[in-house]
Formats: sequence, C-alpha cells, structure tokens
Amino acid sequence: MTGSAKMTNPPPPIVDIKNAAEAADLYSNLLDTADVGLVVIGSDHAICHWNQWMQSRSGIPADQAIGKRLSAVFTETRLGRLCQAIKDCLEFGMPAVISPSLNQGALPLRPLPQFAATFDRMEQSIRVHPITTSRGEKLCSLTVRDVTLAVQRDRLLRQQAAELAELVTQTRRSEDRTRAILQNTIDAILVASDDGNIEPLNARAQELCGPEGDPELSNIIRFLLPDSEHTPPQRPTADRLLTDLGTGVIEVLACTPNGRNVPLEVAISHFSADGRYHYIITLRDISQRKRHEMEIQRTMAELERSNSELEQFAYAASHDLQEPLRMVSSYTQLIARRYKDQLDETADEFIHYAVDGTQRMQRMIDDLLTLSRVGRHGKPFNAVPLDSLFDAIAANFRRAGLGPAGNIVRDGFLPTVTGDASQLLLLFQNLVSNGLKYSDPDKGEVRIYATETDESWKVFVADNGIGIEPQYHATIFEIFKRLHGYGEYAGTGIGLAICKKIVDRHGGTISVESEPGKGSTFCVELPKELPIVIPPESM
Amino acid sequence: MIDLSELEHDTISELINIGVGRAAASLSEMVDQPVELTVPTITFVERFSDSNLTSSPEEVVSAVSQSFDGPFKGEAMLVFPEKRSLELVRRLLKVDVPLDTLTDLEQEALMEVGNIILNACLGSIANVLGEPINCSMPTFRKRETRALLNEDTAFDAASGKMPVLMILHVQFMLRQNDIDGYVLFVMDLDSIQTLKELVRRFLENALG
Repeated sequence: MTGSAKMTNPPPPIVDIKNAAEAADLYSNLLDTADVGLVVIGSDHAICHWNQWMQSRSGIPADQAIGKRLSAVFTETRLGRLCQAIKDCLEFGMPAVISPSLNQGALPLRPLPQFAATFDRMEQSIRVHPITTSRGEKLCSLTVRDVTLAVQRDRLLRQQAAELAELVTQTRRSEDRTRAILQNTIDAILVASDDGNIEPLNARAQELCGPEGDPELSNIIRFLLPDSEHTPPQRPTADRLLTDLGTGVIEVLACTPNGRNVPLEVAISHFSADGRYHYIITLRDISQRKRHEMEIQRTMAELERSNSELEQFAYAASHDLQEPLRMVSSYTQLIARRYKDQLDETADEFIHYAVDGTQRMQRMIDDLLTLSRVGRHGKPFNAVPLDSLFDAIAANFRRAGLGPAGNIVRDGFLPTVTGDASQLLLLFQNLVSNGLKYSDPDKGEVRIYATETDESWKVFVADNGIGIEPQYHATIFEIFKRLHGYGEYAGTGIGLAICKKIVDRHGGTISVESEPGKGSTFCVELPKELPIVIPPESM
Repeated sequence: MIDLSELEHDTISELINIGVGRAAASLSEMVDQPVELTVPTITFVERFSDSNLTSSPEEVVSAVSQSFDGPFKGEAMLVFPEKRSLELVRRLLKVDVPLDTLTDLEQEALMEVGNIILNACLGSIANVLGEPINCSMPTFRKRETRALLNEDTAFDAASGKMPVLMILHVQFMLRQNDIDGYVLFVMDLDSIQTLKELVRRFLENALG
C-alpha cells in the first residue's frame, strides 16, 4: 500500500520529520515493518490501525478490519478476556498482559508453516496498552507477539522434565529395592577396593565388622584377599582360620566382644568398576552347620566304637566258644569210634547226630571268626590280577575234588583290581562254591566274566543252578539267612554275609540277579579308584 | 498518620473485595474452573520491616508489580513465596511439571494473573476516584523478601518521604486448596491522604 507509493518518490537524504505528512508516512512504514502485530482501537472500540504483520498472519487486509470492532473481525467466542481488557483499557486506562498459557490462541492467527503440523493457531503474547493522543483522545493499542516457538520449547521442556522425573523415580525405586535386598540378606556382604579399604554393605556386615562385632575380622579378610602383596597383612592365628587355605572353602572365626564366637564361611568374588578392582566378600554364619558337623562326627565316633566293640565281642565269643566245643567234639567223636555198633541202633543214631551237630557248630564258629576278621584283620590293598586269583580258586576246587573238571569257566578278559588279595580270594571262592553247591553236581557250571564302566569293574559269577526267588534277592546277604533246610544244602548262612562285608570294605557293591530254575548271577562291582585315600605307609 | 476510622477501613476492604471478586470471576472463566479470591485483612504499616511478610527475610518470592501515577501514586505488587507461585500457576494451568522454578511461559501466566488482580484493585480505587489511574505494564521479579522493596521502588529516603504500605492479604481458593499471597500498595503519605480523603467523600455520598 503505502510502501509502493513511497518507492516512486526519491527518498530524502535525511528524514525530515518536521513535515507532518512525511512523519506519518514514516511511522506507518515503521509499524508495517515491525515483527509484531500492532492494532490500535479507538474510544468507540473501532479498529483504527492494523499493521502489515496483522494482515499477513490473520489473512485479513487492513481495509476489511479498520472501522470495525475486533469481535466483528474475528467472529468467535474466545475473545472474552481480550475484549474485557480492551474495555478496561479504554474506560480506566488499565494496561493488560494476555499470556499464551492462560489464553491459548487468543486471536485466530495462522502459525508459521514450520509449526502448522503441531499448532492450529499461532501462540500469542498480547499487551494491551492505553494511549492518549495529543487531542486527549483515549486509544488502546494491542501488541501481538508470536511465541509459538517458545510454547513449543516449553512443551518439550515439560515433557523432558516429566520423563526425567519418571526416570529418577524408577531409578530410586530400583535402588531402594536393591538396597532392601542387600540389607535383608542373611549373609554379611562387604566390598573391598584394591587400596585395602573394606566397606560393609549391609546391616549384618556392619554388625560383624563394626564395634559390636569383631574388629580383627577386617584384617583377616585383608589377609584372604588375593591382591594384598604390597602390604602383606599378618597371618591370622590358627584358631581364627578354621580351614586350610587352598581347599577352596574358607572358614574363619569371628570373636565378638561379648564373647560369642561365630564361625563364618568366606566367599570372595570380584568385579571391575572405574578402572579399579573390587572384591565382594560374603560372610555366612555357619554356626548351625558347624554344630551339625560336630554332631555327625560324634555319632561317627560312637558308631565306630560300638562297631569295633561288636566285632571284638563276636571274635571273643566265637574264639572262646571253640574251647568247650572242641572238648564236646573230641569226646563225641571218641564215643562214636569206641561205641559204634556196641550199643543199640538208636544209640548209634543219637551219636551220629551229636557228632554232626558239633561239626556244624565248628564250621559256624569258623565262619563267624572269618567274618569278624574281615573288619579287624584286613591287609593293605594291592593290585590283584583276577586271572591268577581264579587260577588259585580252580586249583583249590580241583584239590578238594568238588564237581567235574572244567566246571569253572572264565569268559574273556579278567581285569586287575585293587584290594586285599586274601579277602578277594575268599569272596570269589565263596561265590564260586555257592554256585556249585546249588547246582546239579554233574552238570553244574560256574561262569566268570567281567565288564568295565568309567569308574568301576563289574565281575560276574553266574551259575546254572536252582536260582533264587526274587523276594530273597535283597536279604540273602544278611547273616544267618538260609533259604533251605540244612538237610538239602549244607552251609552256615554266613558265607554271603562275609562276601558283602569284604565288598563293603573295598568300597564296592554286591547284587544278585536270578530266576528260580534258571540259575543266579552275582555281580561284584569294585571301584577303579578307591573312595578313601589310603595312607601310603599302609599300602 | 494513618488514622482511618473503622468505617473507612471497612469501606476500603469492601471496595477491594468487590474488585478482586471481579478478578476471580474473570480468572474462573479463563481457566475453566472455580477460582475464589478474598482479601480477609488489610493492614497499613509504615515500614516494610513492620509487616509479617518479613518474618523470613531470605525466602525467595515471586512478585508482579505495576506502578501507578497521578494524584494517587506508587507501586502495587502481588507477592507469593516462590513455591506458592508455582503451585498457583500449575493449578490454574492444570499441569504438573516436576521443575522447581517457573518456566518463561508460566512466569508470563503469573504476570497475567497479577495484572488481573492488580487491575481489579486499582480499578476499584479508580472507581472511587472517578477518573482513570495511569498505570504501567506489569513486570515480574523474583528475589529474597528483604530485597523486595530496596531497589525498585522510586522512593528516596533523602526527600524524607518515607513510603507507607497498604498490605492486602489475598487468599486464592482453587480446587479445595488455599494459596495465600499479598498485595502491597507502596505509596507516599500524600497518596494515603488522598485515598483517605476519597474514601471519606465516597462515604459522604453513599450515606447521603
């Protein structure tokens, strides 16, 4: 408008504002180039100025706005506060601030294109100010600033502040949780940094290492830490270090000032943080476990004592029984020799029973002695080649003339095992003898073979005899267990008990598989490595 | 000096309350929720240090102030402890921002609230006066209570004209919560006399 008219006139070198018309032109120009919206409203509430900025942002040209009331230019209801402010300004000369937060989009102005996607309207900050003209007329000016960018930034700030607060809340919650877990752990947890500083992390650690606990404990821990070479701490006394170092389990004794001693198991792990090495030390109160361990030890000692007492008793009993028995046996045999066929037939029968009884009793006592000797008079373990062992067994049987020749069959390779040679001989001789005893004397055959597992050898002794009913498989290894009357198969009922005791002493197991009429297979499983470390001097 | 009769005191209180009532109505409309505003007490003190506002001199306050000029001149100020001002603005804007200072836009909103209330108070007085009061655009300040009046008030001790304070205790009721603030009128003795004269004349007219 006025701009284009001015361009045709050559501009004067210095603005001569004495010329009222030129001055008006200049001010009008200034208002049009301002980067704010400028509106002037007369005392009759009609718009009397509407600058270029207002035209471009509202899309309403000046000639359509001037002379009208603001509410007629923008026919909408959101103008309440603004119209009141204009009224107060014109009537009482009151200035007003119209803020964007309390009056969102007070005027329906277009936002700049970059904000069009998120804002329907320009966010505005408006000032309403009274103006008095030289003629004393009261006018009201509106200054409209575009604060859309500020509003956008404010929204972003709020959002980020909210996110940050949420994050802080979450972190705090998670921290509280972690702290609660740490505090309520039964074990005492401490952290040590590589400078040797030890910090208790939970209440239990505070209790143990604090003034109420054992002040010496920190030094013991320092000694246990791997990285303490630069200042080697004093080795704790033997009564404070309960285990040998190097066994993997560290147990120490904490002594509290009130005289309570707490055995503790120490576990140490490590982590790196801030380029430094830290150790986490966990102390677990093992008072309970120690008590149990001692109880077990006591029970074990008790058991050993009563066991050896029992063996002693069995040995003594069987040994002392032999003496009177020998007397009875000798004299019954003497009677049998001298008075056979001199008395009547019934007397001969009675004498036979007496002799037989004493002989059986003699065998039983012998067997009992053998059984008690297995535990008492064991010899040191050696490598025992089973092949030669069975050579000896076969020779024994041949000498005794038991069964047909070739009735002891070895099937494949027999290993060399570790054990007490004489006891192993007794074991396998008993098993072979049993196999032959419960078989047809003419066709009886005992087969011996072995298999190997990762940890053990299994030696099988299989016969083709009468077999064993399944319900007896577990009980036949008990002492005095006999499945048959004495008349059918001779035996004391101690043989398999001896076998079991020998196998037990060798750390192995013995079992049987059998079906009546189809023979029995005894399996002796001996470990390749002995479970108990035998002191070298006893080997 | 400030010897107002009980009737005159009540009259000022009444006029101010009418003004802030109008301000409350317009605020309610703007924020679309009930806002109540009352001025339970009005006190006059000669020195700022005499007011109970200075009980915690290091407390940071937010203040919106407008100066006015004419036969009745001085400065009007709406003052809140900073925390209260945050609470007020955020309740009015119905947002909860986890920030402990006002953002620029919140500051401008508080300025508008102050402007509305101060205009209402000044308007009430202008009404009695029968002619407009020239007053400035509001400005925002944030500072410790004890520094509130030191620099920005135009009174100089040299002239011997010590300012007199009219303190309005303002109470906002928003969503069942009260937020307390103060409006301070810092005037010289002449303005107080003018005010007193105006009130007296108003009473004469009113009582007939």
